[in-house]
Amino acid sequence: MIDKRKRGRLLTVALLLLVSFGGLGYRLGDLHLAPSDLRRNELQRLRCVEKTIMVHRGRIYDRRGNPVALDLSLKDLIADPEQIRKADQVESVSRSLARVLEMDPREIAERIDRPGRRFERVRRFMEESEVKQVSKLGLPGVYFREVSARYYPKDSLMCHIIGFSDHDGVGSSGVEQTMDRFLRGCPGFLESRMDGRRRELYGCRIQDVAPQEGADVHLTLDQHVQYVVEKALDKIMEEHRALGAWAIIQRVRTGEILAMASRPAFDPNKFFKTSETERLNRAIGYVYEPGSTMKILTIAAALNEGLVTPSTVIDCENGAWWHQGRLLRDHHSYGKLSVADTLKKSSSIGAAKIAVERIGKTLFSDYLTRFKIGSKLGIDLPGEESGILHAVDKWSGISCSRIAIGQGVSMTALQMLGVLCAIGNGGVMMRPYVVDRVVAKDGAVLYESEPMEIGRPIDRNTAEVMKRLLARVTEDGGTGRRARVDGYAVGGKTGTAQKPESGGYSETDYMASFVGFLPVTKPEIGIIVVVDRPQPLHTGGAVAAPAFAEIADQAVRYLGLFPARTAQALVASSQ
Amino acid sequence: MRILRTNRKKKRAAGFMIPLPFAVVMLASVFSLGYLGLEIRCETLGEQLKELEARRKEAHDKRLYEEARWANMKSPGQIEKVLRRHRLTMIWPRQDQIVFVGESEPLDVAP
Repeated sequence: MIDKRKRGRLLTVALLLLVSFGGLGYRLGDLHLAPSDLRRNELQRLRCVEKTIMVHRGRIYDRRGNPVALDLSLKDLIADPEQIRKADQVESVSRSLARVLEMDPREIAERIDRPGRRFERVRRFMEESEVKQVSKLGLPGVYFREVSARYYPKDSLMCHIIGFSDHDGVGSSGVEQTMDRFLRGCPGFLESRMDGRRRELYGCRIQDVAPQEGADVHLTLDQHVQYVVEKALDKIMEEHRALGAWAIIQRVRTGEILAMASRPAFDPNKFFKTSETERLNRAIGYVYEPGSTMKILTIAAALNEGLVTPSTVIDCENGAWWHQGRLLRDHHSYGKLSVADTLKKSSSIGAAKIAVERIGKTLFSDYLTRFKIGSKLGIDLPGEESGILHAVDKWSGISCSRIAIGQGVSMTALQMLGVLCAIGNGGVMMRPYVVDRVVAKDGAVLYESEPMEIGRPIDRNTAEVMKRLLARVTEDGGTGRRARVDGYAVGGKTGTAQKPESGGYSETDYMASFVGFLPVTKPEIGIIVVVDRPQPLHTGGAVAAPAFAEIADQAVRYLGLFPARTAQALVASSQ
Repeated sequence: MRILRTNRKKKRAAGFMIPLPFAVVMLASVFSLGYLGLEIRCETLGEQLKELEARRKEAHDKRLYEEARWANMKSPGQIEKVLRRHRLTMIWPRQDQIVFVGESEPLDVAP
């Protein structure tokens, strides 16, 4: 028989166990089988994780598939000042970080010694080596946050075309801005549960929406041609101490822009340190008085109307012509010149007389409109200016004569090049564009540019005549001799325009330009070079024409534009 | 009187008799353990998947970084610097320096 005392102990232990397990069982049942709404919600809130999955912006490529803008996954270095202060580690953390990041420890200490603050970004976009070094230190209250950073691997090349996207991933300039809706993409979303150690449970994922990466933009520009242009502009800036210089290369028959550069320039990787002056794309956003290059339009208009022929003789008044009480001078004293020589020698009096005495202001104004002077050409870049052309009823007595020689009217380099390319394209003006196509990650083409005609200011016959006249400008005796390219016939026009100042014109500051195309027989590319305030030489023939020749000489070789195989070569080089 | 002997050779019943409650408990335990095993396996697979996801992301990020580096190295300015460093000068050929092989062959002069 079991002792009564032992039985008692046994019963007590059994009772205790029953109560304990019973209590545990009750608690388990209470928690899992019938928790109150409040508790259930609280539990769910603690265990739930909702996360937006970062998405990469689409890439931008040049016409040959070289990436010129792409996203990188980088890390920001974040500090938790409250945690670091609680651990009394402000000084040691500052010193350790300063050593790795090569920063002033006092600057770091000032940023992390902030009571009540839980978040402080110490450094943006850390490199992998720096991340590893900081991780090894094992510092309290210091962690990394993954971010997507935009990177431009070609530095300042094509900077005005590509533009940049800001730290929030919003396109703020250039193609980044105009194509932002394609480049942006759509972030993903993850809703899931965590375990007790705050690890996400794969099997408990409620929502897992993959991010939709942005589409890729393919440009019409070529990085090598662009580099040639930018080098030439840098040389101008240095040699002629210019305020600015810009150039464009455009395919005459389609309107594709092969290169567009502007100086001063900027590095889009450091967009936050740039000025507005540097960010301005002067090729489309800076209006200037074109000077003698406007004579192309004047003579083309007169020829198209049959009012003159290339051999029509114009009296150039020996270099001084009084018109409407105002004196107009030529840079040389010419007596009588043919229309062809008026263009070749760039006689202002000759061109002004053609406009005033032959064309008339109403018809001339009409031709200016036909050539899109005073209108935007519709290029797919932000910031295009339309230029300044007053309505004909607002013209003064001398406006017609002055506009004919490129004064009293303002335009962009793109517009001037458009005039010339229309002539090179048989009288058909094409819309310029820089975006060739936009392709989604799955290969679907979301957008594709097509060559688009925007006007026919002159007919084909007039265009052919103008091509021959423009070719004479680069012959001996012409103002554009220095724009010649070995082995090619170049057609073009120089421009030397005084810059306007305080109701008049400056005696010292000029805009020098040259606009041309080649080969003349069947123009493939048009090029314009504009230089703002070159010193001490200031004429288009001395400053811009040599740069044109340098650019054109390399461009035709690179593009394979050999006179015997012009069309075939350009097709092959675009593939 | 005749005394009958008790037959001590009791016939044993064939088979194995398990008490029903014990059987139920055993079955429930087997199912529970099986369920637990599957649950653990799922969690393990989930962890492996997450690890693979993380590795894939790391590889993807590394590839992005290398592509960016390569794009920078291939930029015309960098190529020119390298050529200068090695004292090389390269220019695009003129027309008279090119020999065309076959009239029908399209030109492919660009990289």
